[in-house]
Amino acid sequence: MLSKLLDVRTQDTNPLIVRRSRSLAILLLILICISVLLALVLFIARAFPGPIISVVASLLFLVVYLINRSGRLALATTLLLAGLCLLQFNGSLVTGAPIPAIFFSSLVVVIAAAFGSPRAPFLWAVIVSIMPFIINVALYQSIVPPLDPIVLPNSVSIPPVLALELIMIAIYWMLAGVTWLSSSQLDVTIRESNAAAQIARTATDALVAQQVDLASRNEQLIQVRQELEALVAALAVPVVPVADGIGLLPLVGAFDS
Amino acid sequence: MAAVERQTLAIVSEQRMRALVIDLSGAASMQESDIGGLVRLCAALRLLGVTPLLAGLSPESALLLSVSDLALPRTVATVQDALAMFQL
Repeated sequence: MLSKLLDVRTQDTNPLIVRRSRSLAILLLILICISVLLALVLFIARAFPGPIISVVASLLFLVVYLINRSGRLALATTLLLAGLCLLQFNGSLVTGAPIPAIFFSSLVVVIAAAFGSPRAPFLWAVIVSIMPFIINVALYQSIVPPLDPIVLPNSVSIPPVLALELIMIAIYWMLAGVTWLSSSQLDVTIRESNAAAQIARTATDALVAQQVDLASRNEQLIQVRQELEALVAALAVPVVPVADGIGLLPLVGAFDS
Repeated sequence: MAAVERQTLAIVSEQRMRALVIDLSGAASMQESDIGGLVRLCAALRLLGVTPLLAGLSPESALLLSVSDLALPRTVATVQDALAMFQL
């Protein structure tokens, strides 16, 4: 059952792409399960419009899962990342605040690192860093949100929305840096492995060629040896004709009964 | 010796020889066990119509052959004597 769910019909023979496609399928199945469970919990807790956002997220993950299953890893990854950004925007509009939707954007940076090129986390860090300001414009008609501290029901005040947004942007870039480093190291390792594999293949080809050459030489040597054996056999009894009908047999060395 | 006998007989038969000079001047001293093979070769040569002639026998070999009861082939001192015998 699980192997069927993780079956990806990719045309690419690159093992790295195949592994990434399978990993993305696993991730999307996990995200679908979490979103559905979250929708149920929020529905039971009557925390609207949370269940609706979770259901929309589940549908997004399902669509991306199907695209990835058809073998289009790059398209599926891009759609997933763009979809998560849109979900963040949509969630902020529905709830009327950029928080907590912007917290989920860190997921975008991590997924970009896992399934994209080593530079992808930086690209998506730029996009998700712009998103809070777009949300601010949509919600507050200003690039900067209200600077008043947020007062919790127990009268405790926490930093204003702007401060939280800036903290999140810092976290995005920290994540981008860390994931870029690990992705780069992994990329170098893969390149080195590929180069080593290529050298090994070349060496194997050379060995096969040498083996063929040796077999050919061996055959020649066997032929020469057979000729020499025939010559030695002929020379073992050197009957020399000395005249018409008269031969000479010189016996040299010890007799061997 | 058996291989030498076989090959010698094959060659003389193939080349239709009428005489074969067996030069023993380069051979080591014969043992008693060697006489049988040499005499057998000479007998087989005679059966093929080839006259065997022993040349270059060492004194020790001559002594061994002299006490043998086997039919001995004709002997000469040297290969030159043998060739002279055939008027060569």
